[in-house]
Amino acid sequence: MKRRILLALVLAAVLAAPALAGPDAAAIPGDADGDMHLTRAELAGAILGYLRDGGSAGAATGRQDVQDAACVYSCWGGTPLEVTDSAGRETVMVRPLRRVVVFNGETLETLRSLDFETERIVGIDKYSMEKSAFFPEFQDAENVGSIWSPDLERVVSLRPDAVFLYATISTGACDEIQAKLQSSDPSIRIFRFDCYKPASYMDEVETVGAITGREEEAARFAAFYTGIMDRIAGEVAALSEGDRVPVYFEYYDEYKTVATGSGYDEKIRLAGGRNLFADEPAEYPNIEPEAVIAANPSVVIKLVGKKLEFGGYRGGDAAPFAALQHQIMARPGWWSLDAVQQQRVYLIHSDLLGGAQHFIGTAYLAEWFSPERFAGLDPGTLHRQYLREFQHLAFDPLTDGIFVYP
Amino acid sequence: MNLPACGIVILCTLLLAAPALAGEAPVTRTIADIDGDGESLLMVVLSIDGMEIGGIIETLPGGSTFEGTDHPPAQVAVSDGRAMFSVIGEGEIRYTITMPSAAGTGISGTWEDFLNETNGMVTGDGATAAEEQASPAPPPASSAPGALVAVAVVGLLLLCLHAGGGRR
Repeated sequence: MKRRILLALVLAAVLAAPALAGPDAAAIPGDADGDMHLTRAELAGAILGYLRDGGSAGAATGRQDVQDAACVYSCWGGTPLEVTDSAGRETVMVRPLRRVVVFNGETLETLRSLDFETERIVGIDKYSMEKSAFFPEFQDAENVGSIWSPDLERVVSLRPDAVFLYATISTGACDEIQAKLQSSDPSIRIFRFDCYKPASYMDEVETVGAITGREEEAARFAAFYTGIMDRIAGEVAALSEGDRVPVYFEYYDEYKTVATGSGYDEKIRLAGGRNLFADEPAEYPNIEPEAVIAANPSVVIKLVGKKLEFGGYRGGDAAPFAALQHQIMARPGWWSLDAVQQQRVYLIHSDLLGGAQHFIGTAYLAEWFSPERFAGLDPGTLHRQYLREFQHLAFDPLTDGIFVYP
Repeated sequence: MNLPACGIVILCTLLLAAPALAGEAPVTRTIADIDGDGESLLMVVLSIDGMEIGGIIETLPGGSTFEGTDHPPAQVAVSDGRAMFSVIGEGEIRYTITMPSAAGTGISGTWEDFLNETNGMVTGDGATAAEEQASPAPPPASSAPGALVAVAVVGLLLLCLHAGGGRR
């Protein structure tokens, strides 16, 4: 009850004070005749108006208005930018983004790949905040909670012009956040993106690049990403169904696997594997131990991270990886599996396979499934290049952390 | 560190910083006297490099009169001894002023780049030495490299003084 009263007070304060709520969110700044087309003459007039007033407080044309007008004129040709997000929602933008709240870490990582200004991200989700080694520059940003437990008072108090949420997962929670925020302040633009699915990621990168005015950076990152994924796809296209490597993929829990519809199944196929349990009715089914022995996989992939909390960006201790691999290979009856006989039991951290870095993880899978075909792929070096060139991190995945084993 | 060594370090720092200072100002001014009779008719040329959309304010010397410009009329305003120009893709602005011989020769100017969100002083002819090295005039929208260099030099100087004091 107390939280609701507080939220109501914050919302009332924002709605009652237009000056606090920011500039007119529906009009292009400097568009004197209001026809939603900023002409050269109108931009010139807006600049002169600002220069005459000296950019003083209370001036008819403020500095940020002129900066936004310049951006609209230069980046969007003087017209609003119409974008469609991954939830199919259309948004008309009349100003660049200046104050952004991000509820999903994958989009936050993608924004960094596109060099979006850190200072424009004013709030992030609690899980991204906890990844201090991976998101060190956001430690001073506001923590807005998670999609399951959002701190909407804080979000509103940050006066964001845009909030990013998931598009196709946790849709109920994200829909609720969207509805509450937009009912309290309709000027807040909501963008829904996943940024972890191979099938949609490049479209999302292009759209996020347009939204943030980072088209060139988006194209550069897309070239890096597609260079890797296209190479894998080209090799895998030559495989018949029978040539695909039979794979047992195990989630964090023992004998919990993945099936068609899950992102991990999609990545197994992209990398040239054949998921032995793809036809299970649930996306993340639990199976009997005997079923694995009967299926006799040539490769076993075990996912670590989250519930099996070691490795990744947290550190480089190989001991838990070795112990877990040993434990898996020693399971009752597993000694006869081809994967165990041929020492093809691999561990991979979810950081590499479940999020925006899925293309690095997919490269590892491809290398494990078909070592000869992908001999020169070198996923570790690609990972290092990604972190340095696109994430601007000094973290060296080959020496500072363990993401795969062996 | 003794004072001569400290001076050498500062000098080297300034020399290294000079290209950065010169490179960051997108607007430079040249002035030519095109009429030497009694009153001076001056041609002022503002060269613009790397500022796609911006604004320039030129503060004219007292007693001078703005005569005209080749800049589009809709992008110019003159009032209170100031000539203001909006810049949208132009690489050069020419304007003329008449000035009684008794008037001062100093023209000061500021620029603001609205896309890169930076601002500073116009450098070149007519600018004082202080303006040549000055950091942004209006409240800065973002920190400029020149300001960082100035902070670094001051920091270095303090470091030198501190080091010298430590030995005593």
